[in-house]
This record gives sequence, C-alpha cells and structure tokens, in this order.
Amino acid sequence: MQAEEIIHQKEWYQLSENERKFLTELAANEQEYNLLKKMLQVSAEETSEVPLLSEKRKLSLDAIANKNKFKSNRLVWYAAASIALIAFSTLLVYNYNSTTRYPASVASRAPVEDLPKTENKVIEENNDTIQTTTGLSYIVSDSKRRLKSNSSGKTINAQTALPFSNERKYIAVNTTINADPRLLLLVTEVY
Amino acid sequence: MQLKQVLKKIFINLLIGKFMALRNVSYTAYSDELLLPLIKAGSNSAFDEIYKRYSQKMFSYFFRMLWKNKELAEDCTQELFVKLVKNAGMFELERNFSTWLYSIANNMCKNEYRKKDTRLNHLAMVKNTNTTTDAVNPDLKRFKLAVHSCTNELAEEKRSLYILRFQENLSVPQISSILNIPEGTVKSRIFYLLKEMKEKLKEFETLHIYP
Repeated sequence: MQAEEIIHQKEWYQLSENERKFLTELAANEQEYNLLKKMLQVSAEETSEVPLLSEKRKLSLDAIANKNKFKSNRLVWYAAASIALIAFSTLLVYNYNSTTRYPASVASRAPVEDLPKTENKVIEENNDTIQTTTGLSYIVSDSKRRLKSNSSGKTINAQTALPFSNERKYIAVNTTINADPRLLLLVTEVY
Repeated sequence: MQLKQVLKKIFINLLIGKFMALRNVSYTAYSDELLLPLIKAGSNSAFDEIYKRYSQKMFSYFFRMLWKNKELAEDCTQELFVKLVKNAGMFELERNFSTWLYSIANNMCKNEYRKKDTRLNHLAMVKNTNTTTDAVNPDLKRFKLAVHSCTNELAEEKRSLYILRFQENLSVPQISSILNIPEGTVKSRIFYLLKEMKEKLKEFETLHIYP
C-alpha cells in the first residue's frame, strides 16, 4: 500500500507498527499525520469547485466535425469526377484516332469475295499473304509494301504495318483483280 | 507474428467500424477502445458517447492544470476532442484509452506552459487567486487557500503528478503510463511531493482545522 493510501484510509491510532515505521519520514507524529490527511481531503474536495463545461463547446465541436465531413466528401466527389472525366476523354481521343487516321479504308463498303486458295498463284507465291480466321487470304500490294519499308530498306511485317483489317481487305482485293487474268477479264466484261 | 495479429485486429476493428458507423445505434454498452474505430469511421453517435464520458473529466483536468482559467480550459478541451477525431487511427490497441487521452491532455498543458503570454497571465492569476470556499472555520479557510496556493506554486511535473494522483485519483500504473516514467519513480516522486507539501503547510499543524 502506498503512503497516501494509508493516510487516506486510516486514522493515526489505527496504524500498525510497520506502517508507522514506513511513514516516519513523512509523518513522525499524529499532528503531521493529520495535517497530511487534511491536505489530501482538501485536494479531493477541490474537484467540486470545477465549473461545468459550456454546452456551446459541444455545438462548435459538432460544427467542426460536420465541416470536416463535408470537406472529405467533397474531395471524394472531386476525385470520382476527375477519374470519370479522364476515362471519357481517353475514350474520345482513342475513337477519334481510329476513325480519322485511315478514312479511305473505312469508307470502302465493297463486298469481299471468297477466293479459292489453290488457284490463286499470286497468293501462294507471295510471302506477305495474310491469313485470317474467316478463311480469306489477302496480299499486301507493292505500293503499300514500299510504304512499309523503313529507311534501311528492310520490310516490316505486314500485320504490324497495317493493323486495320479494312485496309488490308481493300489492298488484297485490289491486287488480286490486277494479278489474276481471269478476274480482270470478268471485271472488264462487267464494265 | 505479433505484427500479423495487430494488423488483423486493426482490420477487424475497421470492418466493425465501417459497418456500425452506418447504423444509428446507442453505444453506452461499448468500451472506449471499441468506440474509437467507430469515431474514425465517422460515427457521430460514437463520438457523442466518448464526449459524454470524458468531456467534463478532461475539462476538470485542464481547469486545475491551467490555473483555473475557464476559457483556456474550455479551449483546450475542445482542441483535445478535435485531436481525438483526427488521430483516432493512431491509438495503440494495447493501451488504455483513458490514459492515452490524459497523456495527450498532459502534453497540451506542457505546450500551454511554454507559451509566454500564458505564463504571464498565470503569474497575474496566482497573485489574485481567491478560491471560493464556504468554510466557516477561519483556520480551515486559510488552510484551503494555502493548499491551493501550494499546488499552484508546484513545478509543472510535480503539479501534474499531484493533480493526477490526489484529484483525479488515478493509480500509479496509470500515472506512469501518462507521464511516461517508471512506476517506481512515480511512487518516490509522490512520497517526496507529500513531504514538500507538508513542509510548506507546517504552520497549520497546531491550528484547529480538523473536524
């Protein structure tokens, strides 16, 4: 037990020999002991002198808390709006590029005829033939191949150079008619 | 392993906090430590409950620590609760909430002591101190004033020790945690503090101040 606890709980005459020895330095006699006891009593009573905390403080605290909440909510909304805006603008830019870069190839709506593979020598001999999943085979024209060549003269892979399927179809059909004499005759007859 | 457990606890508390914050329930049965994650999650009811439990207690502590200046004590109490809302996430789960709050309050008082203008006001206030006492016995009235004056004259550390032990009635381990000093040191300091107070009040030994 602490010295202050003994003083607080017991009267001088209730102290044991050990407790009196323990308290000798602090309270050698009854008078000193009572003085300390009274001092502790007066200190404890001071608690009742404390006024009540004003209720206005709670109201202002609530106002601060609400303000902070509004601030944090507003930040969340700003963040969400900016993410949506970025996503939308990215989509717009991407669409604009894909539609305006090769307008001629997109404009072509000519039906593509399924050509027999074995009879077409041009296709068989040409290394630049592009095989699609639909079974159609296309050839990249010479003019386009030249465009694909870089400064060192090395030919670039047809698929990487012409990534858009519409363009590849257009080029392939055009070249096939020119190269195949039977098709050329047919076209001439029609016209 | 310990870190894993702590992280798990934090995660569970956050989950509970987010879930409970959405509901408007009464938190009277909740412990202080359970209310903190709810406050962090933005629950007004949880904050109200903590405020109800500690506002007067903390105001009382500030009032006594800051020379019975009501305005200053109210400002500090308000600031303390703002800090509590902002730093609810920094609370260590192993610690006792009440001692954590007292340690923040104690640091705030130290900051106030450092402020020059507050110190000057304090000096003026100590000179004009006149405690409201209804004591009929003139000796007792004088004694009360003397005790009050002695408390005011104590050095900052002794003063907080005196208030925490004899007015807030906190235990030695709690004081040790608040002031961040070993328990043995707290015990010996209390002993010497009592001795110092007794020496200062020696003149009242023979007076009739006892009921």
